[in-house]
Amino acid sequence: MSETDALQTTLAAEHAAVFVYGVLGGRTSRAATPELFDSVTAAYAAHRARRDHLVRELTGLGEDPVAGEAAYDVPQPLDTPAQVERAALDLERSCAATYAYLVATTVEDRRRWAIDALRETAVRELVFRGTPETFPGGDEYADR
Amino acid sequence: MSVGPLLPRRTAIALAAAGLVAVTGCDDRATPTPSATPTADPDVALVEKVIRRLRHAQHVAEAGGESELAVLHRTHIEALDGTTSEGSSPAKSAPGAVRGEEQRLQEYLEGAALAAASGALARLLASMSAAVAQRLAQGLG
Repeated sequence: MSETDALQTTLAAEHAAVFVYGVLGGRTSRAATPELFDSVTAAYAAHRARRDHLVRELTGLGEDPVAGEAAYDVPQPLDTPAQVERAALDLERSCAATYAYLVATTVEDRRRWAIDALRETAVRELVFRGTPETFPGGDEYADR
Repeated sequence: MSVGPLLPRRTAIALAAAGLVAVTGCDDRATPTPSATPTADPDVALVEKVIRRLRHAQHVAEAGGESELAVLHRTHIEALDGTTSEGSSPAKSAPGAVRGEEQRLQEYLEGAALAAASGALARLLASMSAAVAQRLAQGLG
């Protein structure tokens, strides 16, 4: 797979992340769970910034950035703060795997960007009650 | 989603350098051409340096009483096909020594991931760096 294909795949993942975080934000109360609200809001902003960066990168390469879907499957149920946290954690873990994949398929500045994104996503998992992993974004290594 | 190729273990890297195997998948290195004269693979030296760095961090963690952190480093060394060190108990680390060492290690691993010729190795090293970043974010030391 080419670097461009990997960037497109990552962009598609970011479109989904921005959509899902928008839903999670709507299920989170600033008054009742202010910490969770702030965490979801910060994650939404971070993924939106990454999505926009990827759009610029692909446009700069002369590519047509993949568009977002009209809607995405959203984890259910999302009736409690714990369920929202779990959905956010799963989303970050999925993004970590995507960024790790991007690290493998890029070089120089784009790889640096992917490395940073992987680190930030791995750390954000902890905000959503994730536990530190041995190989963030690379679970299969743990089985070797 | 499939996230790429399996780790090219150190032995595999050495074999690739000798032109005996080809690393495939997302690996961005050119396929080695069989040759009577092995060519140098820059990742072999990089992996050796990373293993030495991880061993040092393992010792510092052990000296600081951070046994789970030491286990993490041992697991990372093993993932690189390195031999873990089971030497004598080191002297106790000064306060803050473990955290400082982990911060330096985390940055070192990121630099190594950036420098790796193999995409699969870069991915593994970046994952290790992220694992250390998680421990630091958790309030290590």
